[in-house]
Amino acid sequence: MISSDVRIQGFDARAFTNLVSLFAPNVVFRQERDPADSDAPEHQAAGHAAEDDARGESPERDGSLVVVVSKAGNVRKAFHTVHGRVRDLDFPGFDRLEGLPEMYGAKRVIALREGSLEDLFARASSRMHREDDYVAQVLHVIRAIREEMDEGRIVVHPRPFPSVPLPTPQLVRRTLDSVLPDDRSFVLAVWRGHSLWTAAILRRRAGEIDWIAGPDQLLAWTGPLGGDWRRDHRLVSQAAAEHVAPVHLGLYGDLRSVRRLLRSREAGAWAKAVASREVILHPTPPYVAVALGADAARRVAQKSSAMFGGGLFGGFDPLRRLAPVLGVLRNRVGEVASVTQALGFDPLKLLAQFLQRVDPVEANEGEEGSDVSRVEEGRYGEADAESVVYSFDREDAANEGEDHDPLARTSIPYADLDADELDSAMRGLEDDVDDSTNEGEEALDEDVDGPATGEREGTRERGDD
Amino acid sequence: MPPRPAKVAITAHGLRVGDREIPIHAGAMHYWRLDREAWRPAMKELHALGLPIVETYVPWQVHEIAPGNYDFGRVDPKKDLRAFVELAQELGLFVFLRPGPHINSEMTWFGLPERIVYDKACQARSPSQGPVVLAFPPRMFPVPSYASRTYFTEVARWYEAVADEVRDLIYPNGPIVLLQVDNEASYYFRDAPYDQDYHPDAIEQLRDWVIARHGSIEEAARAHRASYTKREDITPPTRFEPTEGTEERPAWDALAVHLDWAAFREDLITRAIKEFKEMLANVGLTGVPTTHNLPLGEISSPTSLPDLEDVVDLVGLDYYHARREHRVVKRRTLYLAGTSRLPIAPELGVGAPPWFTPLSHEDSLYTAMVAYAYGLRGMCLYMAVDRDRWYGAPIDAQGNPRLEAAGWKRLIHALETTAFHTLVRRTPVAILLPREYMRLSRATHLLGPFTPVTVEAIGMSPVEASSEDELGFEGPIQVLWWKMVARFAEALSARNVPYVLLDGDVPEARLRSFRAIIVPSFDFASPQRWRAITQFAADGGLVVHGPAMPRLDETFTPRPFEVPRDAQRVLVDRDEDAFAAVDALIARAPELVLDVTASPSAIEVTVHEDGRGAPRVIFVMNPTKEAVRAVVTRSGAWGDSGTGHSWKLEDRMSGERFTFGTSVELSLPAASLRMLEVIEGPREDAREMGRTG
Repeated sequence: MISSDVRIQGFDARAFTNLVSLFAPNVVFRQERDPADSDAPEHQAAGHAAEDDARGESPERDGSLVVVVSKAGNVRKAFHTVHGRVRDLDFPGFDRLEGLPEMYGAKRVIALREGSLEDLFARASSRMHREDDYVAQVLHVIRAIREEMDEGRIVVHPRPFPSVPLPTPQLVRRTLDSVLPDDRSFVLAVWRGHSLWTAAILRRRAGEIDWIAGPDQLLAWTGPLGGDWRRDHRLVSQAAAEHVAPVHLGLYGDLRSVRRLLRSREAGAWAKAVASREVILHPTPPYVAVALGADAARRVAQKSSAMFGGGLFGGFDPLRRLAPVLGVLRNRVGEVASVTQALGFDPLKLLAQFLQRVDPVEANEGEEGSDVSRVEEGRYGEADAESVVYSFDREDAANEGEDHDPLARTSIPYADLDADELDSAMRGLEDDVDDSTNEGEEALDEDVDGPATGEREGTRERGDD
Repeated sequence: MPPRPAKVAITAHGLRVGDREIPIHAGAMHYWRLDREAWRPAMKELHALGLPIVETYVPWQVHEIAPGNYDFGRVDPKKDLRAFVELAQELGLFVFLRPGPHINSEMTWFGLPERIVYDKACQARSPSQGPVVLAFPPRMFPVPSYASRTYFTEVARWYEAVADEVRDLIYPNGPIVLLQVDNEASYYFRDAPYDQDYHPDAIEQLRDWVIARHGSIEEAARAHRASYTKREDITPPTRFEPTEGTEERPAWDALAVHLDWAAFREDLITRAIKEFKEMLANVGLTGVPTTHNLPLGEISSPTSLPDLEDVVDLVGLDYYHARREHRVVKRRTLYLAGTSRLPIAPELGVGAPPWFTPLSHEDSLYTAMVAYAYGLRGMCLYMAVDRDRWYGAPIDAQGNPRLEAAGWKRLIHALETTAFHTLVRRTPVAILLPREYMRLSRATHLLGPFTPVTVEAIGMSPVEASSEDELGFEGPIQVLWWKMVARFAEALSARNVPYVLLDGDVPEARLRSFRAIIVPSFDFASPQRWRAITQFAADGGLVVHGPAMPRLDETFTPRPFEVPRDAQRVLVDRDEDAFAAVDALIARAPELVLDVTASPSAIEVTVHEDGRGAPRVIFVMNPTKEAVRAVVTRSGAWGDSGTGHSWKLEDRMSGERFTFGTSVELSLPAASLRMLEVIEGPREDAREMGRTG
């Protein structure tokens, strides 16, 4: 997936940090956490918190681990990744770790039989071949981790990975074929006010990502931008096409919108933003159109459910709106399900999760955190289990323990569909999505939120453009 | 070829080039990653930052287009090393050349040709004779062995090729004034004690080393509690498996073989660097000082900085830190200042590789300034010019300065005009880090390939993953020694006593520059070092040690250890014990305390004096996340003695001026510091202090 000759260039520190913060806000925030107030941070950890205060709630529990190394039932070492050494840890055994995270203020506990890490690396290393690409190498490592876990030599509680089969490198590559074909580029450009805040252009060649260009590179091609991102995006797209590769997917928008969308769990948020040109997705390959369609359908289903007190989408039938694409999908359920099962994950679901990465704080208090939307999600879950055609692989999702997550049901397959067939369906869907979104919004806004503003203004703007 | 007389030499402050002394201020620029048209503007901008030296790696992997066939610009103009060096000379820059073989620099095989890393004869070996794979993007790869004779033969060919290009450009004929030998030699971050290297050539070296260390195979057998009858009987341990121990044969009785293995692994690196250096000299790359750089995690590193400085002229530490790691930067610099011949950062990260946690421009600048505050005297901005697989350099890949260049320019100008490299930070106290305990901590590392260096580099304690086994002692020495170091570091800082960390391998003469030395001492110790400590005490130095008097040597053989004269033996079970010990030390030598203090207590101050003992630069640091109004106060020898005489200070980054009476109030935003030049100091009639800027 990543070329051994990959070029990554054209970022200053701010543009790169900005880019990372979009997709992994916690990584950047972690850099800003409190510095140690001791002259030797490890001393503070070892001297105070771990030994004296580890038993109890820790404000730094998120992402922290308690690591226990054991041999023949004896603890040879235990430490907390934030607080340091834990003396006299009360270790209940490898099969009874449930209470430890709480007891020691950590998110997870990792119990290792002594020597298991050495064996894990030896296993993975012995399977690697010179011709393996990075994905194949990572899969060797993950497979070795799983084997160590399956043999009970490494136990993680709560277990972080679902028990799904691992994909082969070939399947990952095929997935990528659909997401970003060879000799095509993906463009992301985000503005803040009148300035380009960050940007990245990815190119795929010979099956692998071989170039990631940043804002410096981009601005060298475009020259100074005008400051109106809705106009500037065309220059960016042209420059990428001319200097990197024809653009397969471009995402353009201002920081506030893009950040909100990337962290939003709100059904329909993306579809609405695209429809209202709050962000611009251009071009829009079929898989993105499908995802947007699904997103719109979720939104419609939620709102409909909320309006009419639940039941099978209340009085609103999303199937009618989705009819063109669903017609295609119904005929291909068998094939597509097999792809998902073979992969062990749903590529589109991954995309959806990628697009909707949730900041833990915002998830609780963000703009979608109103009481209404919480109720809606619960009702949506009920309705979905019975009726949503596009969640045909919900059994898989349930097996993965993800049935609490509405995203798990947005698994619309695409990989094996005939392109013309799908494109045609998508065109119909896009039109339908616009209609249904606006209709649904208007109805809801009038009944629940008062007169609608933004969406309809956005729609007018699109019409004016 | 006989070595030429040195025209370039390392001095106490920097680099003597001919009859000039210059600070080691360099900037990295990778010629092969830039368009030829960008070389000149980029180099000019690098010079304009105030940097007199341009640094570059020379990547074997890039220049070798087929085995033994190298392109130095004939095919690809970007690879014209000679033209690059000559351009530097034309623009008035010196050159710091780093021809590897290992260069990392985010190259896919760390700068080595793919054929080398996949040549089994060159590969390091695991205990099961498998390859040792480094898990770095964009490809994991098997790392080479620092013992493989095949590898050395290949490296010799590479060095010959490099020398053919630039041999005649070494100073004084050309601008090359520094040569680095290899890079970050820590077993390619697969440094866990039983990760590697079990290459047959390494095992042969081990056998020679063990016999030489103990004098004979019989003595080696005695030390290892083994029944060696012939050389081949000596084999490396592959895992640390302590015995339960009995009264007759305590668990520590089996430790010597592990400590020897840990020591041998240090020696293996040192020997490899020595051989690389000799190979460079053999092909004519000689006559200028040689350097090496160690990565993060130096306390846990299987590399001895003092031993390496016996081989090359200068060994520095690489810095890549966020602002919140203030105290890690402080600790690392205190170790470098105490241990190295001249504290420099061969790689001071300006930006970072894209695979790690992002660092901001503010992080890089803050890290540099804190390192200077605690004793750094030279640096190479890595990278000064942007390139592939990097972000955040102050000069972009077209040679244009970015906004961030201004901050670096100010700092370098301030360092230059204060002649900062010639100033001295007085540190009368050293905390000794005994190598034998460092080795025990590594030998008892329990996280395997999640290595000691990795554990330390991500901000955890260097002993965090060492076992808790008591090994027949009264406690886990492998953990407790560091705890004692950390407690004393805390207490000394709190009492405003400047100190450094001193590697146990430093030459004995280095001890004489301190007034007091704090020595963790447990049941066993190096007799040689202990003699150095007792001599230091006999010469009038103050020694604080504890909790135990050693009784065993490094082979765990009982032997008498002399009690250092007037030594203060302490049992440091609690933080308060270290504070009490430091208070007792201050009572014996009040001059240990710095005469400039700051409040609130989180604010840190360092003072840098000129050759006459006059304060020239004061750093005031706020490592907290809150903005602070700090009060800095002077007293004692630097007090105003009731004269009312004030000092004048200038913040060299902001240009603000302050009057420093008995005290001065300064605003410090969160995670910030001020570099204050004393423009009128405690000299008669407050005369101008001879600013050069």
